Amino acid sequence: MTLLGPEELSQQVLDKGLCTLCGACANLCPYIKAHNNKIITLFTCDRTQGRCYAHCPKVGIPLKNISQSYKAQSYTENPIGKFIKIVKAKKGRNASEGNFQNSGVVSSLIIFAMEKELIDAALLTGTQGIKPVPVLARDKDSVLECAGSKYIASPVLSMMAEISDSGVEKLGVVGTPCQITALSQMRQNPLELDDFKDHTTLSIGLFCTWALDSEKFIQYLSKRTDISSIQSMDIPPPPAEELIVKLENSVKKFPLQEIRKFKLPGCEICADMTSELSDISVGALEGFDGWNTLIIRSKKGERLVNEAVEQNYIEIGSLPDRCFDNLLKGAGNKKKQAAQKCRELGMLDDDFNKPASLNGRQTITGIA
Amino acid sequence: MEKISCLMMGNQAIVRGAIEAGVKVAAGYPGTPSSEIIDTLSKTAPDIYTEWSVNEKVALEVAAAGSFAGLRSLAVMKQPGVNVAADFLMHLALSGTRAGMVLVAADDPGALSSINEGDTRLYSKLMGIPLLEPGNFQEALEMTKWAFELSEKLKSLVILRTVTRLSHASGNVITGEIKKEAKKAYFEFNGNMLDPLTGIVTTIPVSVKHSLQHEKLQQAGEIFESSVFNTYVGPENPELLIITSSICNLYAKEAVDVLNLDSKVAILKLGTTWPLPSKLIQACIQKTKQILFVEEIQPFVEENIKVLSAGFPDKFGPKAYFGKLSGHIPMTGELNPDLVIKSLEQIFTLELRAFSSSYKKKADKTLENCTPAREISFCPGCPHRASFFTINKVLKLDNRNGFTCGDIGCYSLGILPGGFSTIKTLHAMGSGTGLASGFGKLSQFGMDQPVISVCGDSTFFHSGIPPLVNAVHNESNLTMVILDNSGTAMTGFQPHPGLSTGTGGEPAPEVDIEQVCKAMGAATCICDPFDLKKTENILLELLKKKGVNVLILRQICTLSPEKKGKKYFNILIDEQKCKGEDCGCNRICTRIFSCPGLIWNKEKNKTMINDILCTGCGVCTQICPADAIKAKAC
Ligand SMILES: Cc1cc2nc3c(=O)[nH]c(=O)nc-3n(C[C@H](O)[C@H](O)[C@H](O)COP(=O)(O)OP(=O)(O)OC[C@H]3O[C@@H](n4cnc5c(N)ncnc54)[C@H](O)[C@@H]3O)c2cc1C
Ligand code: SF4
Ligand code: SF4
Ligand code: SF4
Ligand code: SF4
Repeated sequence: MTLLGPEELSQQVLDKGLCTLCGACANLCPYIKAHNNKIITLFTCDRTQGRCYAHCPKVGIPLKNISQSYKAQSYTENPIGKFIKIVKAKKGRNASEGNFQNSGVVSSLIIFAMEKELIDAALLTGTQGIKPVPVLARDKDSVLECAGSKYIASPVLSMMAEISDSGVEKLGVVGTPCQITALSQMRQNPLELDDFKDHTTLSIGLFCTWALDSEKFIQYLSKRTDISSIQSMDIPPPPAEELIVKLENSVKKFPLQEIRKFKLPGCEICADMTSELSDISVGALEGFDGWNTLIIRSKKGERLVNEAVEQNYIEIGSLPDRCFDNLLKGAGNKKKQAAQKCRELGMLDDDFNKPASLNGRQTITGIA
Repeated sequence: MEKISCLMMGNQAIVRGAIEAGVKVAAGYPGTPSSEIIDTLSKTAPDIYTEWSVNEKVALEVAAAGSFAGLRSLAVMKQPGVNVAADFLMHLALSGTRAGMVLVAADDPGALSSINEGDTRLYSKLMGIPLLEPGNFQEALEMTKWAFELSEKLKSLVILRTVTRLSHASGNVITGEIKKEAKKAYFEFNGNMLDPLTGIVTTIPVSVKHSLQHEKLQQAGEIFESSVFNTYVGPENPELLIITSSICNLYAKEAVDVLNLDSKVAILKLGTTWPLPSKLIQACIQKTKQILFVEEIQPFVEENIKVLSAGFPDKFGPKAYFGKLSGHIPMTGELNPDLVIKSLEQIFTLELRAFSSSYKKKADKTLENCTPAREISFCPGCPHRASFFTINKVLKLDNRNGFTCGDIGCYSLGILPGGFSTIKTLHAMGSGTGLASGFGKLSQFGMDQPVISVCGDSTFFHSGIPPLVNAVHNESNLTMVILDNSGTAMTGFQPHPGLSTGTGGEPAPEVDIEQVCKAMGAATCICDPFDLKKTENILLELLKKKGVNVLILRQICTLSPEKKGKKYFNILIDEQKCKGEDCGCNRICTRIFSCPGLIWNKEKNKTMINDILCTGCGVCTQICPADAIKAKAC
């Protein structure tokens, strides 16, 4: 991958509306900020290489992966990435209760990791009104407050710069696949900065097929319901085809085909359904309400899961073959569609990652 | 009294002329290149009533009152101010004046300190007002003095038009005697309604007054035929006659001199340019076959002489006319001797001697290291830099393609990169808020961009209030940011009604901007623009609010007499922490924020402080992402 800078990030991602709001480019410097669920460029930065570009999951490495995989036609082989073990799982007896999305495996593992001091804080996604916001949870209660999926994209990783100044030494991160990809890029210190320190000790990735644009989606909902009374939202696995919104005293259902109109265009070029670069990945389990799918990918992840099982924080069982097959099929399809879309957008062309000419300079030279 | 010869700025010579003429009332609104006139009068002549008025129209009205009450009076403004005063000007021209009254209008060819290139002379023709144009510093004094006599004789206002290079350059001037006469002001109105000296003063009956005005103009034309301010220099039958006026007279003289054309070229310098002395012009034109008009901005003399020649074809005869209309003199911009040399070389087909591009290159090279390479920007510690930094940031964060309508003052620089290119429209005084008021009503046509207008404190009183009233009453949606730096900074800290000092520095009642805005019904708050975060948060909220909001960003200009030379903080750079051009900063301080107090040290890849320029405002400490800029209280 060619390491480029903010101008190329704008041209290749932001201006094209392909940003999926992982937040990895934001708040690292005075130029790119995450504000109100949008990535905003405040002033022109004329650096030819930058972390903003290097971290972005919508340029560079993942695309090359797709390109290679695509040409080799190897999707059916293993579209869910490398893993040690894949099981079904749910919250165990000793874990706290909460408004979990599925069975609360994610929240339970995070709380367990905190109690075992594998992490001293976790970067999660909470809400402010109906809008998701990054939250640095330092205790059980705040982890539980963040339970439940927010289908609106939120720039979780924009908090990383603040966290690295906050004294957190061991950080757990929960994120969608694009966030986990970006996190992995960040952790490689792509610009080889001297003062870089990797604080992340655990990453839990979610399964994801798409996330929604906050502005358009909220506008849609606010026309149809009182958004201040929304408690949670769920998209049950197929064939349900609906978004279920739990309100204070009732439940409202919206057809998924309507909701899909608000999905972020950038999700169409995402080739990762199961957060392939995490320690542990968690998703729903089709056909088994109250269970999760759990993919263990790293030794560290394996140790954590084993201990959590031993101490009854989670419970695991073998994954039915049908579910495994469906998962592979779903993930494979996502890769294919992403590759197709990338090709349409010219992103697989050899000269795609070429430096842009910096004509938008905003430099007022001081006395040299 | 003994006559003294001394070096004087054109504007000072005008002041001296007015004092010698016994002026009693003078009013104006600051504007380059006219500001020194009222400033100097207020400092040197305590027995004259001098005022900085709220705007040019009011200044003209205040001065006219003096004339109506029998006192010689002077109104002073830059050309765009004449546009502001134009409504009253037209009526005043028609009603006539009593004691001598002169309007000094300062034009700015080349727009050196303006954002337009207007020519006041056209008002003389449009409104029928006699016009004088001094062609050197001595004339600046003498013409001003004479203008009062002329005005008194005609009972008409007289316009004296100066230009930047006359107003701001200096020359030797011999002074005359000061007319000392105690006068009691009294407005007489009981006489016959048509008697200019005792009746009511008005423009009606228009039919009578309009024809009276034309009689006055005719009389002026006759007086001008023999005026000493119209001079002819050169051979009796020149190959070419240059007709010129104002400071262009000096350019023409120099050009003729440089090219040694004194035996072939004559110069007719007109000091009285409206109405034109047609007989004199006729006589001069008859001496030659070719005429070159040398004048700035509009082809005013050129076109009007051509009209004369069309009226008297047998007297003028067929001539070759050169000037702006033939392309020999540039249509726009300032003139200089070199441009006149060029056109003479063209007419006489001489080898080109006007300065070449290689000369310009050499000159630029010599100057290269004398000035720092940076774009025009605000002064070190200027509150406007902080204000625009935040406005720009907030509009981006708001993410609805909001924009800023600019206005006239130092802060007009907000349209340039030095002001982060924040301003997107820039026109006349007060127009920013007027435009914003209009934009703010376009939501019914789908416009969803938020609108900010910026307006200085002096501009607010000058012409910012009516558009604000308009916006409130018509329920527009806008945020007006009043950049209150407590003075008319751009033109040299003239006071305005928001301050507690008057024109001569005496205490004066102040009009509170905040109370005025609140009384109009605009949601109003005040913040210090140096507090970047607070300003940002307030402004972000205001942009979300409907209706008319006013944010007063109050911080005194660094160059103001109160603040000048005072340092609030000593600023230090922690080189260990400075990220320089590295990712994470890319020197936002010297590359974007660009306060001249910050210096970029290329070799070290670090920022430094220029202790001489830095005023210690401390704003850059809030901009540095690495906490490398430290402020220590002085
Ligand atoms: C946008 C989105 C799309 C998803 N799509 C699918 C899918 O297609 N198929 C599937 O099987 N599973 C999907 N999931 C995962 C699923 O909804 C559950 O999050 C997962 O099964 C874990 O359930 P849980 O009960 O263990 O979670 P909980 O214990 O309730 O914890 C949920 C965790 O998710 C995090 N989170 C919530 N919203 C976001 C967000 N917007 N961005 C980043 N992190 C967030 C919170 O920090 C919290 O820690 C998606 C999740 C999201 C956020
Ligand atoms: S290159 Fe670095 S400093 Fe520039 S915008 Fe990107 S992250 Fe910020
Ligand atoms: S996808 Fe992430 S890194 Fe890329 S532009 Fe969007 S927020 Fe920035
Ligand atoms: S803003 Fe701070 S870190 Fe960046 S160059 Fe200036 S002093 Fe250095
Ligand atoms: S403190 Fe900083 S911003 Fe203020 S004048 Fe000094 S260098 Fe400029």
